[in-house]
Amino acid sequence: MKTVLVVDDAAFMRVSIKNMISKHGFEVVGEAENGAMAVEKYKELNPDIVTLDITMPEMTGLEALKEIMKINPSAVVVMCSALGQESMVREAVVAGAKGFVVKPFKEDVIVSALQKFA
Amino acid sequence: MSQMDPLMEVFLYENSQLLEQLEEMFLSGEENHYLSKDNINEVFRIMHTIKGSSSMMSFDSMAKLAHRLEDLFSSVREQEPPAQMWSSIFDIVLEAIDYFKAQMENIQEGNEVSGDTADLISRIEIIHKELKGEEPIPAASEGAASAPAAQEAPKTAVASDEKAETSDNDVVYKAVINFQDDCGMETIRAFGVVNALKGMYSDLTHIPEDVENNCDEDIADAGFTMYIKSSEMVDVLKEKLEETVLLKSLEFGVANEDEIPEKMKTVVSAAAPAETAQKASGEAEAAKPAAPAAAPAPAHPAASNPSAGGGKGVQQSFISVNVYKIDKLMNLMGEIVTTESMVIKNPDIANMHLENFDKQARQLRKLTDELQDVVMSIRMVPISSTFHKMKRIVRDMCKKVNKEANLVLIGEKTEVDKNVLDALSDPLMHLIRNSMDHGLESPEDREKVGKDKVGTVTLEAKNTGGDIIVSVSDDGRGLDRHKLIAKAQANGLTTKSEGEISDKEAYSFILMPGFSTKEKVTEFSGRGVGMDVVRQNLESIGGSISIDSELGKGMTITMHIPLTLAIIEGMNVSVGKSKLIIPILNIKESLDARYQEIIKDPDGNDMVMIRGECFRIIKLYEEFNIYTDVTDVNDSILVLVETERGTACLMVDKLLGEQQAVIKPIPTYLTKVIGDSKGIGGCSILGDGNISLIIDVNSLINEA
Repeated sequence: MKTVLVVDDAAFMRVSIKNMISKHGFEVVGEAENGAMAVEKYKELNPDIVTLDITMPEMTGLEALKEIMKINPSAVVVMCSALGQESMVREAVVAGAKGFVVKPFKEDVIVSALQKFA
Repeated sequence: MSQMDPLMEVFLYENSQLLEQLEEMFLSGEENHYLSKDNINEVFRIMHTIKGSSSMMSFDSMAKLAHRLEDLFSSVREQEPPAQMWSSIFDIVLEAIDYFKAQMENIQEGNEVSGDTADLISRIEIIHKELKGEEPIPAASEGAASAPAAQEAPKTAVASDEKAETSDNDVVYKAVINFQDDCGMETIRAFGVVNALKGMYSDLTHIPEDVENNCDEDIADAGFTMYIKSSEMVDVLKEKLEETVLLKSLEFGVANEDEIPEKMKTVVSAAAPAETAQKASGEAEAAKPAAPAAAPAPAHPAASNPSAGGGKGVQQSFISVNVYKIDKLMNLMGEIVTTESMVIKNPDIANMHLENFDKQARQLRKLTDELQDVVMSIRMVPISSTFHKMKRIVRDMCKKVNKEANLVLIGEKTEVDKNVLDALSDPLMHLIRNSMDHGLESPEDREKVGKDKVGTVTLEAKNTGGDIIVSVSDDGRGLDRHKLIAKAQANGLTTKSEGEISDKEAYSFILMPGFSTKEKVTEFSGRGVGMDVVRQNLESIGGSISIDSELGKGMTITMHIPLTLAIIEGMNVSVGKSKLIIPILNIKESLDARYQEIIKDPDGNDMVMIRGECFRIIKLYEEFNIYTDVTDVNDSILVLVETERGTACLMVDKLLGEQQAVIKPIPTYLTKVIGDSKGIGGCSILGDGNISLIIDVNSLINEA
């Protein structure tokens, strides 16, 4: 079973993602509500996959992504973005995000995005 | 609540908290006519979160509104609006907050999200345009604004990637990629694919050619086609491409010679894009400082936000629990208390001498007491959230009735039961509105009588042991006793003459249903609107209300609310065959009437002298029409009870003992029979299974 770290500042999004993916054979091993916590948790849990929101307090998803890529250059990070954040998504892709989903996303979208790495 | 989808619960919970936070921020910001940079970022972030959550739940109208506000604040944070614009921004955001809140309530009650946001949105857009119009270079919405700057950066990445050395072994492959339907941002996905092939090709052309600017629809419709000139093995490339997230289909193979775009056919042409790339990278350097300016902004939360800020350590020691579960815990607690006394006072063992049993029973009692305290404390929440809501009411009322007022909050840390707090919100709102509307004079009138033209409304909460006292006072014109009495007489609410009516009685007329009439001629007529509703609300949670006033100086409305609703310490007494419970909180002492001096007042009512003080005797058997042999005061027990309304003696047959009583409301089919029975506060199940009525001392004393 692939382990997943879900990062979003909105508890609602974390619960949503968790609900959606845990039905499909992913185990959510951790949650973080900002970039700094995400990096911490990444180090601690070393998950197979990270879903990473972009707009977050303390440290944005982009910064966190870069930190995570420093820790593990082959980390699998899937960004969660919203319309209007195209430029940041682009930056994330360059920085090494393996993919991204656009909010609002449906269950099948996030699941199939993650299944790439299962 | 219990059947609600947990996801929905999180949605409601989180977003209402965000909205509260937002509202608070705006109200304090409005006082200063300014929002700090941190606050602006915070607003942006909150709107972003609401947008995201709402759109996930398909509450499109909410998502749309949040999106507009997000856009607006993205501009605001880039360009400080001029002072005069702030007020319209404050107005519109507060209105939007109202809209969101209304929708959340709708959702909570299982209704559809409704309401029209078109007006709000168009007004937001007007403000937004105005804001942008200030500056020749428009500071547009986030995406658009940061795009020109930030987009340059990735360009460098693609173009300046070390392309693999061109070699003779190069083969041109063709790849056609289709992304999953509705996956969004296809352009960037295509860009990502190109990016992922970094270093694996010597030349690459794709259709559409420009993946820097939005061509989502083209890619969604026709797919993304690439011609890749590479010395890599077919499988390696294919594998790489298959890693693409949300890939629907991939066609991959060696390109037909005639398909290959002209410019890829010669090696020379490959150099050209490389040069442009250099140039682009130069541009990107120049543009770079602009990009981070937009990006990290949401990274720093307002320092005022405890949930996101430094309070991490604190936060983690809290969990949020569904109120339903706590209610259930409370009910169970009540059942346990009842069952405990059923066991300990079981008639089967009533006359047995059981030393060990008694010991254990005491221990059990001690533990249930403790447990009960803990359960109660879980339900306690500070009153501040409700108090802060009132700021908004005052603000809105100021604008509506053209008055100026300050709201002073005292004791906002006072804790009350969650249910009490919920029931308190509406009455408070009503009282504040009344104070603003009818209590305070207009600024001109205030100056005329030598008051500060800014009125003061004070909201105070304090804890007095068993009760919470919440008072609303204003320094307005106060109540006019004569007018009140005249009105009450005219409406047939009293038959007493003015001389017989005490001030308190006169003021309490405004609490009576039917006191207010539609004709709004006199200055105080509006006072009665809904005041009886306030009173009913309070009584439903066992509270009471009293009014003080001084003509010309203002008035104070004081509400006494029981700290908790569920369990009281009671004294079990008997009257005839009935068993009644008197709350121990009210009892000062109990006396054997034989040894007291009983006297009669001129009307023939019995009074008792206790240590030189005279108290009225309320005969419970008369009050409740109970048949009993003990009708002579001298044979009875007198229980001296005290409330803030006064002191009196209750005459009962016998004291039966102390008892924890779980208060249950009197079932509605009974209230129909006994009416809005004065003097009864509820009922409780006794240890032996009998039902006992709980005496509401307040209303007994009030009535007589």
